[in-house]
Amino acid sequence: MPETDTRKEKSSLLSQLGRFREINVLFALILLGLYFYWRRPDIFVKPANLAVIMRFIATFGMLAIGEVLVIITRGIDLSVGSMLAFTGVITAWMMLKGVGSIPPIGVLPAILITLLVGTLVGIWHGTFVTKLKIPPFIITLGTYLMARGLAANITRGYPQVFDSGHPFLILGQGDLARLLGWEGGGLIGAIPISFVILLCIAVIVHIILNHTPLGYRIYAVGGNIEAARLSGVNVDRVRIFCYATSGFLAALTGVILASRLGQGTPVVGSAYELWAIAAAVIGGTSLMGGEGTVIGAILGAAIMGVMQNGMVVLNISSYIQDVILGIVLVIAVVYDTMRRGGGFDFIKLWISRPS
Amino acid sequence: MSEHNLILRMEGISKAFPGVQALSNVDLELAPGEVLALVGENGAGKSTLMKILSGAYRKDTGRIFISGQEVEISGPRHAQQLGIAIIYQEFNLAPNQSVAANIFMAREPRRPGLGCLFVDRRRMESEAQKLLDRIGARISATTLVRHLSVAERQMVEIAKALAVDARIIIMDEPTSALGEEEVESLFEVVRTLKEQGIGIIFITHRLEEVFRIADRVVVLRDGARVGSMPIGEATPEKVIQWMVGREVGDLFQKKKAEIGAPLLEVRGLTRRGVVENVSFTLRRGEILGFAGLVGAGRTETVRLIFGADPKDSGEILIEGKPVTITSPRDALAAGIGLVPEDRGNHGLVLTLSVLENIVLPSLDRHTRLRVWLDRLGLLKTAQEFVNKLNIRIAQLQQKAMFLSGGNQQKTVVAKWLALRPRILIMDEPTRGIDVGAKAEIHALMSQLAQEGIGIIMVSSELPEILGMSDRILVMSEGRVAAILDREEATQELIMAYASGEKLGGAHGPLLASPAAL
Repeated sequence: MPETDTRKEKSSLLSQLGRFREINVLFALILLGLYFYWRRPDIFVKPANLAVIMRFIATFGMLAIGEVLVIITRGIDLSVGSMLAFTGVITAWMMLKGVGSIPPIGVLPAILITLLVGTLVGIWHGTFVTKLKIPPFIITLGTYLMARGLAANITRGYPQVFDSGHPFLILGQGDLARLLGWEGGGLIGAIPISFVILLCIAVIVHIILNHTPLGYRIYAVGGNIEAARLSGVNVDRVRIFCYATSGFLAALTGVILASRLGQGTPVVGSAYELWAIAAAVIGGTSLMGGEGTVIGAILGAAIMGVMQNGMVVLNISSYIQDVILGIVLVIAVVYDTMRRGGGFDFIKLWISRPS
Repeated sequence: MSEHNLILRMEGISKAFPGVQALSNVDLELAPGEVLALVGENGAGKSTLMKILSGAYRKDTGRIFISGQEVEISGPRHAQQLGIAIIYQEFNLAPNQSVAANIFMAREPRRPGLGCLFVDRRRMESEAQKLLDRIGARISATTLVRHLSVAERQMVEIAKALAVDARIIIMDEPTSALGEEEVESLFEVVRTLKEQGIGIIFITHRLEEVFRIADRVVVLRDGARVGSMPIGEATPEKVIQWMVGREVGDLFQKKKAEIGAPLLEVRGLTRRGVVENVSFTLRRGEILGFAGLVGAGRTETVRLIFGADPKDSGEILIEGKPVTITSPRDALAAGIGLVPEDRGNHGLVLTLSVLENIVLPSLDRHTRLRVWLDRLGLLKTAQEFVNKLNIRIAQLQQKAMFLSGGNQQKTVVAKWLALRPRILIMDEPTRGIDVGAKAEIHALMSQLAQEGIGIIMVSSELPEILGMSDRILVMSEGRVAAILDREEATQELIMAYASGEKLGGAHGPLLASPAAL
C-alpha cells in the first residue's frame, strides 16, 4: 500500500515540524537582527562585527550545549565558568612554563591534556551525583570554588601571557581567511575558527541526541529516571556522560578563550555558567528535565549575543544592558511556561477566585 | 428521601471538551450519612463529574444545590468553603512536615493577642490529634508524614478535610494502593464519618468494595448516568452489565496453556527485613500468581528477581543455568521483563512518546554498527506491538501521559514484548484500569502463556489471582506461606495463609523440591 505509506511519512514529517519548538526562538532572533540592522545598517552587518557576535556565540553556545545535556537529566553544572579559567591557565602554563621539572610541551599535547582534565572533572561530578547521590548543585559549586582558586594559586594571580605570533593564538583569534590563506575573504572568511568548532560540536551532539540509543536514553533518564532504570538503561553511565561532556566543553571553551585573550588568566569566565544556563533556558530547555535541544542552546546563545552586541552598537549603557538581558530571560521563560499550559492554570485560578 | 434532606443535588450536568462530550445531562444526589459508590469504566465521566463538584472544572450546563441552596462553584477554594473535600489518589501532603502541620496547612492556629504573628503549635497539635481520634486513626499528630504508610497518609487527608468542616467527602480510588487490612481500617473510618452525618462519594474500580461499604451505587457510562440503585437491590452482574453495556459472561478468560519445563528457579532469595528465603519455580507457559497482603513482600520479591534492588543472598536459575542479576540490565539480558506496579512513575516515561517508550529497552536491537539508530525499524517495531496489543492511540508520537490507564498499561507490556522475553513479571497488571481493558490484558496474558512465556502475576485482587493463575504463591511477612494449585485454592484458603493464620512456612512439603511442584 504505497498510498498509506506516503501519508504516514507526511504525518510524521508534520509532527516533526510541530516538534521544532525552537521556531519561536529562531523567529525572535531574526526579528532582533532585523531591528539592529534597521537601526545601524552601517555597523551591525559588517563582517568584523558579525565575527564579534560569532565569537560570543561560540563561547556561550559551547557552554550551553554542555548545560543542555546536564539539565535534560535534571542536573545543573555551576562549575563551567571557573573551569574556563582553570583550563585556560593550565593550558598556558603547560605551554609556557612547564610543570615542575618537565619542560614546556607543544601546543597540541597541551590542548589534549587540558581537554582530558576537563572531561575527568566532569566524570568526577557525574560520579558524585550518581554514586554518592550528592546534589549536582552542590558538587559543581564545590568545583566552582576550587577551580578558580587553583587557577589563581597556579599563576599566583598573574596571567600567563603568550607572545604575539605564538601558533596557539590562531585557535581563538583566527578566522577562516587566515586559516586557509585567503586574501580578503569577505563574510565567509571572517567566520572565526572558534565558531566553526562550535558548529562541529553542535552537529556531533545533535546527532548523539537524535540518532543514537544514548540520546534516547538521555531524554528517558530526564523524563523519568526510575522508569528508565527499570527499562534496563544504565542511568548512572548516561548521567556521567552528560557531566563529562559538559566538563569537556568547558575545557574546550577555556582553551579557545585563552587563545583569544592571548593569556591564561584566573579572572576570566566569571558568571559564565549563569549565562550558559540562561542561553539554554531561552532556547527552550526545561529545568524540570527531559526537554532541551542543541539547536535551542545555540539559538539561545545567539539571541544573547545579538542583543548584547546590538546594544553595544546602539551605545546603550552596560548597566542597562544587563537589565534588558534579565528581562529577556524572564520573558522567555514565562512565555515557554505559558505555552506549555502551566501559566494559564494559574491565571484562570486567579480570575475565578470567589469575590 | 425528601428534597430538603439532601446535602447535594446535581441536576442535568453537561460538560464538553474539545472533540468529546465528557458528560451529558447527569444527575447526582447525596444524603447526609450516605455512602454513594460512583462506578464506571475509565473515561465514563466519573472524574470529570467530581472535578466539577470540587471546582477544578466549570460545568457547561446544569445546576448544583448544596443543602437545598443553588450554588455556582467558582473554584477549588470556593468548593472547600461550601464543605466539599476531595481526596485524590495522589496525596497533596508535605512529607517533611508533621501530620498536624499538614492538616492545618495554610490555616495554622495563631497564638492569642500580640502573639498572632506566631503559630500556636501546641493548639495545632492537640486539634489535629482530636481530628485524628475522631476518625479513629491511630496516628500521632507530631509524626512526620514521610514516616507514614500510604493508608495512614490517607487518614491524614481525611482529617484535613474534616478540619475545614467538609460535609461532602469525595474519595477517588482510595483503596487502590491499600492492602486488605488497610482497606478494612479505611472502611472503619468511612463508617465513623457516616455516623457523623457526612456524605461520602466513593469512586472505585473494585466492585467487591462497593458491596461492602456503599449504601447506593450510581453507574456512569460514556458520560451519562445509566443506573442507580440501593445496594440491597444491586448485584455485581447487574452493575458490570450497566458499566460495560453488555453481559459479561466470564471476567477471567483463561485459556489452557501447555505447561513445560522449569524456566525460572529462585532459591533462598533474601533481602534482610523485607524478603526472607523465598524459593519457587516458574515453568514455561505458566501463570504464577503472587498473593498476599500489602507489605507481604511480593513487589519486593519481584524487584529482587529483576535486579531493581540489591539482594543479600539467593540464587536465580534460568532454564537450569545460574544467572547473576545485579541490575535491571542483567535481567533484560536474561530475558526477564517487569511491568511495575506504579506504571506512571516506574513503567513509563510520561513525557516521551508511545514510540520512544516502547523501544526504550530494545534500542540496542535497532542500531546499525551499535551507534546509529534505525528509525524505520523503531517505527515498525512500535507499530507492530501497538497493533498486536490493540493500543488505541492517534499516532505513535503521542505522549504517554495523554493515554488512558489501560492504554498506558498496554504500552508498558508492549515495551517488554518488543524485547521478546522468556519471563514476564506483571505487578498489579490491571490496577486502576477499566473492565474492558482489564479483560484485554487478561486475554493477552493467556495468549503469552500459550506462546510459552512464563508469567509471574502479583495481584491484590483475589478474584484475579484465582481466575488467572495456574498456581498461587501466597506470601506473608516476607516469606512464602504456601504455594497452592489452581484447583485447591479458594479465597478463604489464600487469606488464611496471607494473614498468617495458617502456616505453611519454609518447612512445608510444597517447597522442599521443585519436583513436588
